[in-house]
Amino acid sequence: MSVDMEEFLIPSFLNLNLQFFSAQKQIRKFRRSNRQLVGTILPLGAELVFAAGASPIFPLRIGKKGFEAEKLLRGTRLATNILGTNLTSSIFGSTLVQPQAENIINQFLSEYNKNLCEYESNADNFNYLPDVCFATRIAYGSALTYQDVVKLFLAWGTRCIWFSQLYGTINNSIPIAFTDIPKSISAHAKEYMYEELQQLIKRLENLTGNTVTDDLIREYTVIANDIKAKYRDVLYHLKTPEKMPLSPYAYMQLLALLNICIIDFLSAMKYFQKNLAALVQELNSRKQIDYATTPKLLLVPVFSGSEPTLPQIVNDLGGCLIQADYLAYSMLDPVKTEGDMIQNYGEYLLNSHACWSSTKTIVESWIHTAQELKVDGVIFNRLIGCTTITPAQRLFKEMISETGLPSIDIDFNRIGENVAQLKNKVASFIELLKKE
Amino acid sequence: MLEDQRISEVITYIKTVKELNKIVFGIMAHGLIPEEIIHAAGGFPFRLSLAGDKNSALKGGEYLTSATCSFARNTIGQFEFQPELYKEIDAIVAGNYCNGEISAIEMISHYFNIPSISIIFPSTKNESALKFMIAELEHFKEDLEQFTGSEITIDQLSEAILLYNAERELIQQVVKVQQERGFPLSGIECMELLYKHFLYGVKASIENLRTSLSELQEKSSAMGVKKVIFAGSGVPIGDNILQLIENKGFWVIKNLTWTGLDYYQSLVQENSIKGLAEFYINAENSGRMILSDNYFADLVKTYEDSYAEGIIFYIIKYCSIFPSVISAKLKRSLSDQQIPFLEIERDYGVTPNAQLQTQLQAFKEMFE
Repeated sequence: MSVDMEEFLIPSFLNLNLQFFSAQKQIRKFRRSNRQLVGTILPLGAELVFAAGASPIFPLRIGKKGFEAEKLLRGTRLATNILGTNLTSSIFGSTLVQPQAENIINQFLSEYNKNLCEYESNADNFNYLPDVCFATRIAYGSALTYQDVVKLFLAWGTRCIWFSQLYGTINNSIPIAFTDIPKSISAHAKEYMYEELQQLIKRLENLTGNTVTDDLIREYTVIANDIKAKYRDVLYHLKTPEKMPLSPYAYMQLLALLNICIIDFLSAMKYFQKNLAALVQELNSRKQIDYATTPKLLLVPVFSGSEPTLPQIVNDLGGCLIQADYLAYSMLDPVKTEGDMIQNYGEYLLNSHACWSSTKTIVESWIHTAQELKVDGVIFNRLIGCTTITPAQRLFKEMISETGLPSIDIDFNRIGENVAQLKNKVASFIELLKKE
Repeated sequence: MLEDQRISEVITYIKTVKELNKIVFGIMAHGLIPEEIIHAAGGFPFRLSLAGDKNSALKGGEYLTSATCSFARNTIGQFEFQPELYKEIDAIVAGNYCNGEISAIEMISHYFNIPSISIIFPSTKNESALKFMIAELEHFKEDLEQFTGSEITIDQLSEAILLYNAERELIQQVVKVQQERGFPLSGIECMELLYKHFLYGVKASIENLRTSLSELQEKSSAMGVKKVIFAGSGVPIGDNILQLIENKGFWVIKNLTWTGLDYYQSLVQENSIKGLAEFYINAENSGRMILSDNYFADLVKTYEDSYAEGIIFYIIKYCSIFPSVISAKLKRSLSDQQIPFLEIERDYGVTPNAQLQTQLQAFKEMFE
């Protein structure tokens, strides 16, 4: 499927991509200003880290030796700044436009994938268990790779006991701030959550020497709420499924980017907010692209890991892959900003946890999201080694068949494993959807 | 498959229990569900401890995935293989001990139409977690009252706590006499004492323990065996791992898993819900709560105090409690202290006995 260079020259889109690859530079900057880095692998708690005067960092975003894509993107941004979007495109000439755009986006994906591969093999080198789920392997591999940089790690007790145990293991190398999110929304669960968050805030205050006030939490929560709302706006373009503001490839890349960036807000929350706002505005005013013949496929679950080349595969087959886990688990819902902010944040954590705390609820969340986003089909990502979400497979098959939405399941264990088989399976599915 | 005779005896017993108008509550067998409260509610807590065979693991794989621990898969598989027994279960208790329990109980409830009552454990054991645990047990008690239709009085709860403590005291006496007399009972025999509790409840278990204690005085210690400690995942009824170990010339003198007498070495100190919360949240050998190094320290101390010659650490494949814990900490702490240990991993549906026997043979040769 063709790629339009002009889409990648949208300044805000370019800036977000560039910032994504700038983690090494950010780390140097934070070090110079004595700002502490707090590791995180789930999109939870970053607001509190900012409020404490520290910066959250998603270790998977850090390239060990910097990224080639960063140089390419910087060059492109410079050209765009000097010559303007139209002139840059025309200077490249029509024959050069597409390879250049594809080059940028392919480099983004391939370098990010390279990162994942490196962390996967680092986890092996650190003697982490080889047959556990991909998410915990790369989380462990990436966290330990940057144990000298990260001073504290945010750790959450969720329904996945495996994740809790992972944090316990990370704690051997990096101090963790473990915050339990009880699998309940009862009054005593709220009280417990409140006290757990107080403990977390104390840990963050001890780390930075700053005091975390309710007003500071509110300030960063307001920004986070705005970012989440914009993220929802990007997803909700799917509600008018025949017309979309970006080509499928660019749209998929944007979703992949947001899916990662929401975890640490690119360690630069206000910059993220500013550029995402500009991008959303741009998307709203753009000429719409016809999607009538492009099947849109929702991938579930995503956040425990998936084959990183899958978006590219789906694109090559004429489809568009949608990743919307955080929408399904209510993680893009706003946190209340009136009253006690710790209480508000606690309620947000309990409510989003409730969306995936039982197998039936999680399946209902996926189906609701698929219907809300008006996708044409759902791909169930059976993550080998996942003992929390993957066991929902049977129930998912039964419940989705009742809706009439077509679905398939694919297996994922390690990057690059069985890709040919995966392509065949997805190709047949897309073919089927196109016929329908 | 499990012996038909044993199953048919249990079915007869459960039917007798039901004739007394007792409600049968199925609970996962890990030992963290507070049975005292169920007992106080006039219920019969039946531990879902039949597992260990290939067929039910494969059958369970139709409900869960092959990456769910094979104990959880077996547990759900048994509901198909033993319908005569499992249809007697009136409700199941849904805890969150591990990923396997969360998934299996939900699927059992959904596919076998059994109502469930939930109880949530925290992941840590700080003061806030204890407060939450107390409230959660109160909530559990209320849910049971609603389900059974009768109030649980303070006296009933107190009586139940005393009863379970009495059983634990008897278990502790068996452990003490075992140590004093050079471990005359094998690991399998000790485990059978607990199986009595799993299938027949606390009162039958107390009776059985009393008999065993008096017989124990006349038994002599085992000779020419390698004394080992068994830790990690429990051994459900039908899993032959202890047979394989002891047939190779090892003697399990301490079993720290939920299927071992040594798991039950503490008592509920305060006769109240708070006492129960403190007891269950601090169950060190459960491995459930994170950030506790006591598990490893206790294991090494048990090894030293018992003059064992090695440690066998058992893992049910895809167990979410033990693998990640042991990989980093346990191996290091045992290796540092030069304690001989063997890690055995098993998937009931896949791992053949021959493979385990080879591992055990190699471990034995380390001593020779």
